[in-house]
Amino acid sequence: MLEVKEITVGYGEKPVLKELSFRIPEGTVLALIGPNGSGKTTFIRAASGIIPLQKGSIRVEGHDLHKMNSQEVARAIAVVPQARSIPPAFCVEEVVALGRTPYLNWLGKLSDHDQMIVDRVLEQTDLAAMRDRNVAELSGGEQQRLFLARALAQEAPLLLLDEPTTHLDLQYQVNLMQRVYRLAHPSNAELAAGIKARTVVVTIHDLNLLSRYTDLVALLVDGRLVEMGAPAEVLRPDLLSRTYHLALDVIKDASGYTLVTPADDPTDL
Amino acid sequence: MKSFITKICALLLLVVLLSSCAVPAGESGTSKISLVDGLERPVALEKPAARIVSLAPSITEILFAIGAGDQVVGRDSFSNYPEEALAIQDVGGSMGSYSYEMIASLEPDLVLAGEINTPEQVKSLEDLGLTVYYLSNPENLQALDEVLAAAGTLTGHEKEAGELAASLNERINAVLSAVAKAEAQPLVFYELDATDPAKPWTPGPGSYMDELIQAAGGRNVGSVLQSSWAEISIEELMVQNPDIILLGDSNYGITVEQVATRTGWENLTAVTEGNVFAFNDDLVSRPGPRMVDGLEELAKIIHPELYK
Amino acid sequence: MNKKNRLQPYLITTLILLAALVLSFAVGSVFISPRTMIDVLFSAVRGEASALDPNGVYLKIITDLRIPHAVLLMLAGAALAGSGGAYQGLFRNPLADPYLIGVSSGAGLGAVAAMMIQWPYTTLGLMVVPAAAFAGGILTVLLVAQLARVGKTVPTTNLILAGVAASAFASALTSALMINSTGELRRALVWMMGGSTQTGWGPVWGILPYMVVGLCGLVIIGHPLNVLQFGDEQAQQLGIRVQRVRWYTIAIATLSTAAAVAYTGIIGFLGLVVPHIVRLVWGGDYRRLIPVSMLGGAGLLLLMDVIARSVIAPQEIPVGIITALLGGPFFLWILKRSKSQNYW
Repeated sequence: MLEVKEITVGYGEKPVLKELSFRIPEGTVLALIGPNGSGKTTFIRAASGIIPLQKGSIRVEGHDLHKMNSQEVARAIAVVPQARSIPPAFCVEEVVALGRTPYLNWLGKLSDHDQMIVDRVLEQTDLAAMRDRNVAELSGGEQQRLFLARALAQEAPLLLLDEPTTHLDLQYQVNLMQRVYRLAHPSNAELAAGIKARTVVVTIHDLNLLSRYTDLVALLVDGRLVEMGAPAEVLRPDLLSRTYHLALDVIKDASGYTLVTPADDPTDL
Repeated sequence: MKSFITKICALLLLVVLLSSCAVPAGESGTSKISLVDGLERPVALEKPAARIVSLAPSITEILFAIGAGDQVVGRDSFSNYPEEALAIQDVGGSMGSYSYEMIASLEPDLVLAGEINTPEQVKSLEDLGLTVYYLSNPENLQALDEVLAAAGTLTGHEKEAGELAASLNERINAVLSAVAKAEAQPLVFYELDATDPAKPWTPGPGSYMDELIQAAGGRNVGSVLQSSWAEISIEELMVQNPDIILLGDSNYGITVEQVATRTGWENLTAVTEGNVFAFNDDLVSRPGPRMVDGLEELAKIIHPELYK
Repeated sequence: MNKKNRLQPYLITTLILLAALVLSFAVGSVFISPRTMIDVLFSAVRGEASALDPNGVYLKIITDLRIPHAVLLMLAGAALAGSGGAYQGLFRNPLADPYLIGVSSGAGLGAVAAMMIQWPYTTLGLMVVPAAAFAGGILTVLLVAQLARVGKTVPTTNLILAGVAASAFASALTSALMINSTGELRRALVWMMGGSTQTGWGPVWGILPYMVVGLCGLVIIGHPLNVLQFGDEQAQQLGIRVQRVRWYTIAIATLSTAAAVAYTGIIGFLGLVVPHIVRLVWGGDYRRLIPVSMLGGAGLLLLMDVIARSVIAPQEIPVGIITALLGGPFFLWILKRSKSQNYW
């Protein structure tokens, strides 16, 4: 569904992503991990059309991103940015409605169909009860959920989430990742109601949420794809220790999910 | 061929429209009074003006001086001489714009504008259907005659205007011949504004004051400057060291005593010898008959020995 | 927002505008009673002379002075308030006003430079100063946009910096010209302080084409500005062509403001304060903010002009002085009274 072919992306002389290639099928959650500066955010920006590709191509459902205008890109790819500062003049419903922008004309008038999508997304993200609340009154987790809702309103088959769990309390982190997983793997009831499975790429720092909520993990180091596969395959102690310059252990919890933890005695500096 | 004809017609139409935009000439043949004003506009009146609005203080003074004071029904805010002018309806002008409503409601048959008025103001009055005559400032003292003559013709006081012009010329010549006998020409500094005492404003070449000082038998410190009014530094002033200092800003409260307290001024000869005098700037800044009063005042101050 | 609420801002500002128009016609240096005015106007419509106005002076005052003056100021007020709101949205900056990127300093320089020359007293000669102001404003913004350009984009920070630099330069040149002139100094000062210097219908027809284009163009920019509040990146990710919106907004705002300034001089504060007042009362949705600001700006400028013309009649204070004197404290009062926490 998403095909990244030998892309080189950079700001000026130095490329940040170097001949990156991978493919993921529909209905999967891909986690992009790697140390700071490895190019995770740059990938999101390149894939959403913000930065031009110096080399290579990106295809979504077979269509070349380079050949699409910004409106077409917005209908194919939706980005959920980090919820840092939201302009306070909006209420929840208005922000979600902005997600319909790729389908609206300059005057921004919502059709009945647009309104229906907005209502459905508000339900889907449990924001319906707060639809008239001003965004400044929301908690961090609710704000992140709001950005997710806006992206869902775009009805784009590919979702890119940029570090969505950073700065969130644990319950919100888990909550968000659960939703993300369900977006790629809708329940039978949801499928019957007409909700389609989406493809999701998440950049994430916290390695311990990966094996529960993602299907594929791609490890980026210094702009290159070092390893890609199921969480268990990529979360190997030797690979991770080398990457993060820290002795790490990988253990399995009671349900069989992989967890990563420092290997050394924490009191020994 | 058809489109060529269309283009020619359009061009002709454009020419006709543009030429009709030009200000139409007055009908000089049928009117009794017909003059061309300072903006090169032909102005025509059936008979001498009976209801006049004056937009400048100098014009108000001229009108009263030639005996047309009774014919003035409106005047600008700054017109304060003679005293009778104060009783006439004020039409605005202190903040740069006049009340056209007020002027129109006075139903004047002539509006006299001066060089302090902008072309837009003349146009606005014209658009209201009023007759406007733009009275340019006289280039020098001698040219006052023409201004007085124009005012006389417009108001039906040609005789008084002529007599006034003649008497003014007599007085001017009296001063000129008197000061011609003087032995020296004292250096005079005329202060327009000294809000910054280190850089006071003074009139330079081309200004009335410059001309008047010379006619009164003196030399103007400001004649070394480039424009008709400019700042001069206190250092330059100290080098020039004028014999006489005239305070043209005395109308705004500046006194002779204050001058001595200014840094650097206390060393000037004029200050130490007590030759600092207040001067009524209205006499020399308004291009009218009072300029001759100003000339005589100046002569008395500059050459007191000739007027004992 | 239910249906009733959606119309309320338009109703209120339209009412203010109508009240201001009535006041504008009724008030002036010359007192014309309502009865006289109605009689004069109705007689004119019937093609007769009014008994109360035998020489037609009142009719002249109303149709040649008050009505065109009011129309001119309405257009100017709408242009300034609408442009101010649009710039506040475009630059995401509460201090933005229509003069942010140099249109006023450029217009001032053009006007003052034109005043230094004695043009012939003809229709064309009398149009030179406003035409020079208009051209000066537009050319300055073009220059600023060119200076701020980075490839095909024109970043907002660069625009503001280039605008400040260009304004300072133009102001310095203007001051130099003014100081060097002796006769025209007062005329230049009066122009800079804002308020119409020409009367009659000429100015209205002169700027009408630009105003129609500019005002209509401003009204439709609301939705893209809303999206832009989240930043250039997110806006683009939502499908907005950011650079196109930016160029369009600057073009349309500059056109309206330059047209306003050409005949009304530099009226400050209105373009800054009116959008803020509208925002405080009815929220920051630009689809509503801009048209409502335009209506409000038109009405408020008319009211300020009534004050300027009547407070020390027959003296007419340049209206820019009144907007500055009243604008600031009025805005502070509204800000204090507002209960809205989440304002900007």
